[in-house]
Amino acid sequence: MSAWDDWVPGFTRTAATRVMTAERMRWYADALETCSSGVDEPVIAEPNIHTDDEFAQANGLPARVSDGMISTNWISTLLTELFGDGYLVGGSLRTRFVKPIFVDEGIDVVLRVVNRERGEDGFERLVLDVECVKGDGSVATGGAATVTLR
Amino acid sequence: MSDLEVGDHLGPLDQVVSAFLVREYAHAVEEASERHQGVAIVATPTLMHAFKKRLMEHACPLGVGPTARMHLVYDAVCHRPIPGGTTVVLAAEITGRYEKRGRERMEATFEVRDKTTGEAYMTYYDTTLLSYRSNA
Repeated sequence: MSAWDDWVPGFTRTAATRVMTAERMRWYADALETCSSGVDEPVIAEPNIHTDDEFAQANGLPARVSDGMISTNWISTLLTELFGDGYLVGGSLRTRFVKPIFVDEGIDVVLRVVNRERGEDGFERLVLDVECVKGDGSVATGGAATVTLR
Repeated sequence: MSDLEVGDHLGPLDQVVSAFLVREYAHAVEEASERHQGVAIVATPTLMHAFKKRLMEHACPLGVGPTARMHLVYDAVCHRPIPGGTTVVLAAEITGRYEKRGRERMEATFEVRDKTTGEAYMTYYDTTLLSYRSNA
């Protein structure tokens, strides 16, 4: 019996629902500015489409929208929790930002096994469909990931 | 940034992946594991997105252009985790620029390598909408 016995094509794993809050958008906006600044000091992001409704509306959006990397991070975190080095060493993640996520929308991260096969190195690999799904069932972020079962 | 062309090279640019940056990013995305917030930490793969931003801003000091960009695709291959404290070299090439549904898109491939050994940590393929507005 292996921990991965259930992970066959069609198997689905859904994480607990998270709500996209204005705070989460702000945390990410500030972290992005901090980590791209080139120095080890916290930076507060200037108003942008992820932090400011008026700025977003001036750029043709109805309101501030989540940075797509937040939902991507939620997928990436779940992959790390489940597969560890099977994702971090030789794995991959591709996400496409299909629909904007607005403040207070609930998001489910869903992983679905598409393929499972053994590689030349003897390890089994999974190809997964990955999605962040809104409360109305529509996909906000979609894509694919590959991981190794170690 | 809006005047970048296919074939343009960005970098190389040194980046210290400090424990501060690793923890700051992990904290912001609620990645609470010891792997990213403990002592012997490694960077979350998605920290690459911040390094992309730094390299783009370094290469294009005049800014993004007249309107807000919109990130469309994150596509990263994790060769191995980046340990906290490592100095890496960031580099990129613009690989595509085209119009779709009346809006211009740009594709770029980024590489993150160890400054000392040259070994690859990540390869990142990025697609960005240069202007969210269709009439900009």
